[in-house]
Amino acid sequence: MGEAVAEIEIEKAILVIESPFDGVVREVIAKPGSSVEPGSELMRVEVFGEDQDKGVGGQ
Amino acid sequence: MEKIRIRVSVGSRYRELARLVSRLGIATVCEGALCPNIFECWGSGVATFMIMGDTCTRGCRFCYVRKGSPQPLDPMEPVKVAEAVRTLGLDYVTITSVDRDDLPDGGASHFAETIRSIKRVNPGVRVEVLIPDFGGDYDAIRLVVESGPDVVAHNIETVRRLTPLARDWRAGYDQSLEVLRTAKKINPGIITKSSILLGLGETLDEVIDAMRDLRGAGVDIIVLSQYLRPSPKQLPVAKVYTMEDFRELEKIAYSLGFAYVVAHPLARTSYRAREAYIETCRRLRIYGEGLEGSARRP
Repeated sequence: MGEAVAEIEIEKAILVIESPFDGVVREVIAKPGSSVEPGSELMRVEVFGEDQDKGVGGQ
Repeated sequence: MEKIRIRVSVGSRYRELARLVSRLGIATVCEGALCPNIFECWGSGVATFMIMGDTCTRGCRFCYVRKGSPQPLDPMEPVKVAEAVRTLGLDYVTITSVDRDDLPDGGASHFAETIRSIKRVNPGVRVEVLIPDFGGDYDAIRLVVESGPDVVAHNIETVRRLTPLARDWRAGYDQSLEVLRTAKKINPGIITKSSILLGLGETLDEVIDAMRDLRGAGVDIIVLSQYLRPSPKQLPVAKVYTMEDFRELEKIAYSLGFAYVVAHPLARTSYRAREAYIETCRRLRIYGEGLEGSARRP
């Protein structure tokens, strides 16, 4: 939790996305360097202490 | 040019507020202007409302808000915003708007009704408004000021020389100073505030002149921040100021007599507005509230 897991470049700035969960990144869904739409999934994180994987999404 | 890096945490409070904003059907300038502070502000439960629609009649060349012919005003909006304030549990509200040159009073009566409605539904709440210039119309400014806002902000946006380049042709450097001067004259007890976006090609001397002009118009709070280009359609960034530059400008601003100075690359007019308000009240009370030129840094 709080560790930087992705950088998203927008016109105004570069957003360094912190993980909202404690866990391990299991799958990177958004291709590095590609454009993503708001609300799209960036990666899947296996969250410690929970059964389910959680997605880390863009804004 | 090296872009500014912002660490963002998309926490549960951010997501909760995003859902609420969407459900209540309210427009926010946070989204409308692609504000870089949205994660921080929404994460702490604060959003800035944008009233009178999402389409602005002006075409300022630094701004991302949609431009064109706006929709008719929503007569229920003052009530909706007041209810949203209650739902969000806010004790300090910041309201901004698009410009409505299509309306006879520029939207002043709608603005005033929104302020009154918020105060009626939420006793004790403080309201800060960021208003258009209303074409410099005295009666329009008076309508808003007399509806009881605690802070009236109007942005000069840039220095005198760059005003025709950066702002819509209907805006004016002197007109904006007059709006601020008029608001203060109508109610000297009101706190006034103005922002300058830096990085459009201004010189230090020009920034100091603009700050001096604002202080001369009785402005209490000044916000200095970095212009960030929202999309390739807006003006390019001419200069990225360092934190050291901002610290220097902050010192200069205080030396000119502002009661409160916000100088930070990512500051925007409504950024941490509640803190600025509380601190300004404290300082002005000690150093003579409402007395022209009496606001000096402790």
